Amino acid sequence: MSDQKDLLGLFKTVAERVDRRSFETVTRDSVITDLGVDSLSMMQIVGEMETELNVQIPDEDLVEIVTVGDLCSKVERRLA
Amino acid sequence: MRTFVEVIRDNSVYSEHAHTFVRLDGTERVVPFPQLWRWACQRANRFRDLGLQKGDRVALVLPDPESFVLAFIGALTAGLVPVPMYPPMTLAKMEVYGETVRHILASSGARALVTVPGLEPLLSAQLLDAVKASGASTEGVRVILASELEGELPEKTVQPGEVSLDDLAFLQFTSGSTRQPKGVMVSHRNLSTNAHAIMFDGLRANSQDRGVSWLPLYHDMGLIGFVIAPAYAQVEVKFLPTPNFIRRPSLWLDSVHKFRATITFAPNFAFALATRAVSDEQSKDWDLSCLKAVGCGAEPIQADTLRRFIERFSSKGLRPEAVLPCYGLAEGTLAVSFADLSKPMHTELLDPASMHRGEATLSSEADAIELVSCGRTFPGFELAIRGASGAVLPDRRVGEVWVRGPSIMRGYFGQPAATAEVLDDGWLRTGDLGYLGDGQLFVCGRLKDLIIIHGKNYYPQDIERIVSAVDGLRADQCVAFARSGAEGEECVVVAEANNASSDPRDLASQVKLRVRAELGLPVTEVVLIKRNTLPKTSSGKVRRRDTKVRLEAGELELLVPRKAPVPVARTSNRTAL
Repeated sequence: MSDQKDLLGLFKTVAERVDRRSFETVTRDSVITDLGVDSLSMMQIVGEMETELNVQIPDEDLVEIVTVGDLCSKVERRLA
Repeated sequence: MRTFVEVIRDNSVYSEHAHTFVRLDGTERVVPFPQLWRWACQRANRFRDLGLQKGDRVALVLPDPESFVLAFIGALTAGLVPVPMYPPMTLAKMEVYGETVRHILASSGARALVTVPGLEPLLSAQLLDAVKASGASTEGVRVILASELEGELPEKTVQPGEVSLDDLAFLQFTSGSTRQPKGVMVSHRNLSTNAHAIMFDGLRANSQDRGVSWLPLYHDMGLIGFVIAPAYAQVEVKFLPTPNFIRRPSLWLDSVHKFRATITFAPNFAFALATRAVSDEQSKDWDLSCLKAVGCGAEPIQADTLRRFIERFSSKGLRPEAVLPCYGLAEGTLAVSFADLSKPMHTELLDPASMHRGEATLSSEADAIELVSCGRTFPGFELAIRGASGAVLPDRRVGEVWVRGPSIMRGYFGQPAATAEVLDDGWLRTGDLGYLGDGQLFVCGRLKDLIIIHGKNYYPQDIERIVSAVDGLRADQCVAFARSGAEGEECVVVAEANNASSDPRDLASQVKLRVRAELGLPVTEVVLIKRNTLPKTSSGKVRRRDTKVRLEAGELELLVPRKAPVPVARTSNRTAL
């Protein structure tokens, strides 16, 4: 559970850095395409999360991602 | 002069030279020049076996540089006409993508589409939708997997002589600023002449040079700049997948450092991204002194961005004169002018009031506008600045950039009317505004985007720069354009708001206040729209004219409803769009 929180927190921190605005209200249920982040920025966010955690999320995993929680789960699986 | 296919054939004697392809998963494949030619012939034969004939258009949707380059060269070798298309972005909305795919397939009359298994279901669905929506226009499109093009080389080898300089080589669809891209017809002669201009006149390259590119291969700068042109000088290239650079911006210059690249190119935004997102740790061992040309083109060039890039990486050996501003466009194959390779970036500071009159007068005041020189055009090419009547303007007068030379396109595929609008007695009307100063080209913006109010010229970029700085609005996610109002032309701003916390009325008055204070221009209406809904091209450029059309059609996602629509009495005064 604490891991889940940390990843959501990391997502918010990185998203704030890349997109220069607050992501305070984002939850694991937030749909990524509704966040108002364009795909270029989204790839930068994924990239910066990968760098921070030293994991790599393959592209085929990204295709299945709909919510922020999906992204966190994919990262968790790579961390495990 | 040789066709690109003959060059690839002739290069097969350089067995010590190779291209390096980095795949999406980060692994690398080295393809020596002899093998490149063998595989090109093999793919050419497979295309022919699949029933495709000389002149047939074949769409390529291949995200991986290796499979893209091999399929592209194979198609050219078979005399087919490739139509490079951009792959869908992961984590993006698909509706707009589908619309573009259907448009390009229908207007190119493609007979086949080459892709990978991961994208095949999505693209097949788009084809079906297109058939349902518009009848049979894309019905005959056959979907081919890139893996189907591999296999042993049959006995019959292709003769590259079957492709001549006057054959159509490929269709480059330009995103432009309108919703429906047009297919630029690029001939083998166009390619060959532009490759010579780029490699020998612009870059003074030889076979010891090495290139690194993460540029998308569905775009002219990546495709012609790094697949076609380097071949003419036997230059080896390392290709990186675009998404890998976006996810890890350090990859670009790290590859330059490790590959000892001498040539690389990027649009303005990448210079900003590399400056911001590369850490000291990532760059600690870099030696970038190998670079002789870091070309910057394909979108408006900002002097500040390039200066910060140079400052950031000069301690890593980057020489300031390596940064090379360039001008070009798909209708001119790719390159039209390069800055001087041996000199640092040259800029001019201009008086804004004079620029509003169309005169480029130097200024040393704080409000001066800075423009970057894109250098001179190449030998064998002509460049002129012309006024609305078509008359050539004197130096330092702003007008439309016209270009003539052997790389000017034949026209837009299947669109004679659109072609006639831009081609005139061998001259290409670029639609870009610029002026010449001491023979050097300075580009100011797009002619059709110019906002003329009470006889004064305003450049949308200048307005957008001011709007971008307003708190509560997203930087660079706004457009300014003119529309006809009751009292002549008036200026409208459409901007994405950051979040709902700021009062929209307050934001709108901030915009009006600031633009008037800095440019003396009254903004008639400020339209705030939801985040990430501003119309853009596949390369992320704003679409001013499309935004205008969509606003009038009521298709923008407004943050707050607009005030009562323009009264009927006023709309009747409107001139045609």
